[in-house]
Amino acid sequence: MNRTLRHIFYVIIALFTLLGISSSILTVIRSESLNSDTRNTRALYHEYAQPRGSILASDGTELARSTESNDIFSYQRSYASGPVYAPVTGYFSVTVRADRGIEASRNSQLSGQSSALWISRLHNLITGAKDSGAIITTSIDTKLQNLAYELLQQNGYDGSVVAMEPTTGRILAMASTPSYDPNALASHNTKEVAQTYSELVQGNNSPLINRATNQLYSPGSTFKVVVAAAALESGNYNADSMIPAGSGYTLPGTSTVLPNAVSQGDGVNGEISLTNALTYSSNTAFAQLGVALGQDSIESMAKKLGYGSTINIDGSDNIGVPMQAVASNFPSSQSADKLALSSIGQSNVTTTPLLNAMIASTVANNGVMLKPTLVDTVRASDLSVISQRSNTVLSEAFSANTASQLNTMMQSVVDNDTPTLRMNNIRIAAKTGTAELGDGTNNGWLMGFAPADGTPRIAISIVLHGIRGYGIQEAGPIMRSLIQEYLQ
Amino acid sequence: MKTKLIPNIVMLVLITALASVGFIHMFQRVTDNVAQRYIMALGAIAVLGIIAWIVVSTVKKYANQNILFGVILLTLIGCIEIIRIDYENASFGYTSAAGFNQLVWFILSLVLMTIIMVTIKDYRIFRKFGYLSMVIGLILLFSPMIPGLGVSINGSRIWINILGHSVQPAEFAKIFMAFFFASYLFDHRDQLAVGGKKIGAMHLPRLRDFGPIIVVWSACMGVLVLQKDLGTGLLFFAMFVCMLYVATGRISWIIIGFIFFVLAAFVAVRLFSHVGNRVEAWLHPFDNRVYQAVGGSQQLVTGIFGLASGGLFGTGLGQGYPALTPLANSDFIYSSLGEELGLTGLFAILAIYLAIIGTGIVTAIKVKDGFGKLLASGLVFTMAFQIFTVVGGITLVIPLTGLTLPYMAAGGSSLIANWTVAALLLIISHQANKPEEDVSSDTFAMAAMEVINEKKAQEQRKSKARHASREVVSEAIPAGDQPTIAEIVGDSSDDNLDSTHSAGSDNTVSMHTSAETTMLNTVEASHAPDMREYEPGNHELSDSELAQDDTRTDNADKKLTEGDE
Repeated sequence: MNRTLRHIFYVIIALFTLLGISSSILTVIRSESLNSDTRNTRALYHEYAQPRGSILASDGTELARSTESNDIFSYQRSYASGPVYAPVTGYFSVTVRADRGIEASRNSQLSGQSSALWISRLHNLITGAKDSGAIITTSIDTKLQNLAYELLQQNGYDGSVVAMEPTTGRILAMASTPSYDPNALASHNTKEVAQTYSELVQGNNSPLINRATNQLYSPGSTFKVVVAAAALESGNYNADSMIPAGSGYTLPGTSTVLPNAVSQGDGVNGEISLTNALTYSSNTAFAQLGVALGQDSIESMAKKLGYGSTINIDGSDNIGVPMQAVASNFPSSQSADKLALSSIGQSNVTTTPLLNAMIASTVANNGVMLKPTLVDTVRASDLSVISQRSNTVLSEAFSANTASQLNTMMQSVVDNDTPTLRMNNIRIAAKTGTAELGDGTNNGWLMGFAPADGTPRIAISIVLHGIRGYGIQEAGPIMRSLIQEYLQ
Repeated sequence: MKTKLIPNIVMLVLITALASVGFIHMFQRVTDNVAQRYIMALGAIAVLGIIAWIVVSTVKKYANQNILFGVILLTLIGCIEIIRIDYENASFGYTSAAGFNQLVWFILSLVLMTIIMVTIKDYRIFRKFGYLSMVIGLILLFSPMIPGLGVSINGSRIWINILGHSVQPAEFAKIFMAFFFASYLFDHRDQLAVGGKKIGAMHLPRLRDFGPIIVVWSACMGVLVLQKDLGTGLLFFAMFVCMLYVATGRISWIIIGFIFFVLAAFVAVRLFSHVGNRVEAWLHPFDNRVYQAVGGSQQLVTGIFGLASGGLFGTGLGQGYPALTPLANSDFIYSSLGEELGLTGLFAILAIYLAIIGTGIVTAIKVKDGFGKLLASGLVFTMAFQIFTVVGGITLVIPLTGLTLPYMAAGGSSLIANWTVAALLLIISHQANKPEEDVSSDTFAMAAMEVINEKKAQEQRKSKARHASREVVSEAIPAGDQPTIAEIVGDSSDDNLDSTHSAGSDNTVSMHTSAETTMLNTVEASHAPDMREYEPGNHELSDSELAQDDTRTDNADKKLTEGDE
């Protein structure tokens, strides 16, 4: 009988092996997909049950934090100066959980479930301490962010400000108005949250949208920097090259005559230097330059400068929903008249405020375009560093020589065309833009960087949607204040 | 075998430490002040646990105590999780006291274990009550069908209500049926092992030997049909088939059993929507239609979500949400534990089960009489199979059944019944490991006395006694030595070796059976072909049978030793 007993034991071992395998499959191998199943309420309770990591500004100010609450959800998420930082933080709610911003892009790290945090989880399992999420330090400068938000908010602008460090790509400020208060969405009252959310979604001013990254605007004259870069890179032009201008330019194949905004843009005897064309934002000069350079040349420069691709700002699919800027658009294969209009940033060219800040940074950074980043450091709850940012080159858009010529040309803009931007001891390089929306209102643009004569420390892009005046009139003071705040 | 006092004490200390850490961890995380009654109950468990251990160590000193340690540990882990789920229920606004009840049942289990250790000297006593056990087992099994007593929970009628408590009588029926199967199969394995027609390499059993398996199968089908529970029927049928295989060594029985069961399962799925639903939930658990359906996969999937949220190391005690799953502390205790202790914890639990089961199988291999082998293996296999059914059901290996995890699931009847199983295993283990000389001296004296008594009884009953047998006995006893059975039996054992068996291990199995038969034949001075046709209640005779089972294998006579070891 002992032979059969052994057989029985083999059968039992086989059965138990099967159980071990099936248990492993459900607890570990398939756990990720099971935990993200929408019917899984446990995952929600779990996300709430442990202190979610804080989101900090670069100076350590807590932008988002979790505090113990005496309800089933255990922890309450709260946001200091919610609307100011909403584009950065995003929010964490019982209905949709982590959504937008760092909350979404660093979800698994904040919740403590990231695989990078397994040592601390194991440690907590043994000691009985509660797991807590990673602490995310952003590159946001609180003074700059507050100022940017205030300047946008006080005049009731619908717009955005992005400020970044040209030599690193670190985003210093990212404001968007109208904004929303993440605290209202972080309430534990499901009904209240649903109510707030539907109100935010239903309004026609879409406060949930981060205009810096998720709204496309026609760039207007700021696009002339791209065309100028293409011209300089072609080798056929330099800053002093004389190019055709004139007071009016009939778009090829049409009877539409394109005028200039200011008479200095007309040039002398129908010609203008490239520098002056940019300085006075000559439409006639850039429309003709664009047609002369051709579609391919401009399109290729636009692509090198980030047009046509979504731009990752933070996170990856492994740790959450990546924070991305939507792809800016430069149309391919267009007729000559459209190409002429595209060359002055009209027609179907669209861009995000972030991309313009990146283009300004590229000029400042010798033609090297760096990946924008929002997170400096990720620390475990015991403050040990899990990951740290580093520079990532997105493209080498143009040569240092081109960059330096563009820099000079953009300084000329401030020196000659927009004296209101001039500052006593800081050299600023900038380019304005005013894209007509066709209803009598404009998208006012301004992009630039400072100091333009030394190591550049800040690049700024501002868009004000639906304003009556020119970009420079309304965005100028904002840029001036921001540069002053940051550099002085 | 020497008793391992020091290692056992170390184990006991380890278990105490582990359980203490577990309880402290759990209480720390779920409450600010631990209720007095928990402390008192745990104190009582500590004291009674140590008493039970001391009793086992003295009364059943050769028993492999891993069985005891294993079940204590499992019960404690179960209690921790059940109490923890009570607290979680409270946070959701319900009150449940399953945890404290479980501690009380644990206390009763320890008391029961101690009593069984002291009172039951020899497990072979149960062999006498084979048919009585069957009757009790069947009554228990079918008791949920008695109107007014049976309760239907979740579509299955496998519960009875006693004084407001739900009791799963199948848990107790398990033990009685094991007694019955073991004694029945031990008596009839010779016939059942005989080959019939040969198909391929496999000998089919003779057609007339299908009787018992058809009876058992019908009973299990009856359970299935009447109680609408796949699990209980499956469990008993598996128990029978396993023991049948152990007894006869014939693979064909397993294959036949499997075919029978598949047939039954197929019919059940077709016949009962309740069983059909479970199969559907097993096949498409994540299908939203099945998930939303009444009696669909929601509970199962919620349990699976629990496992998934546990991951490799679990959320930690008190940090998961096991109570989101209905029946989190009984049917779904495995997923609750998986959630809070992770895959690591589940592996540890499966390993403890496997250790108990392994010890049980080793016991079955070591123990010398066939009844003990069958009983131990039957009990152990049933435990393993029950674990497989429960855990397999939760982890999508098989459809979910209404069975619960032994030792861990909340429920008094299950705990008491399974602790009884552990007690029986300890007793068998004790006797299996008992040094041989003890056995032979004890039982030989007994055997000799039995033979004399029997002889006397026969002399009184029968007018003419056979001369030869009196000679054998009277020669053996006055000598005062330790006579071997062979000596008692004399040469006639060879003559009486039954030649119905073919070669191989089956042959050796049958050899000693026929040797026993021979001995009894000699003593009884009769050559009746089936010695088991004694009158029920003839205690002298059956006791002598018990004794012979021992003496047979202790015998130095090579002809009579079991050949397959």
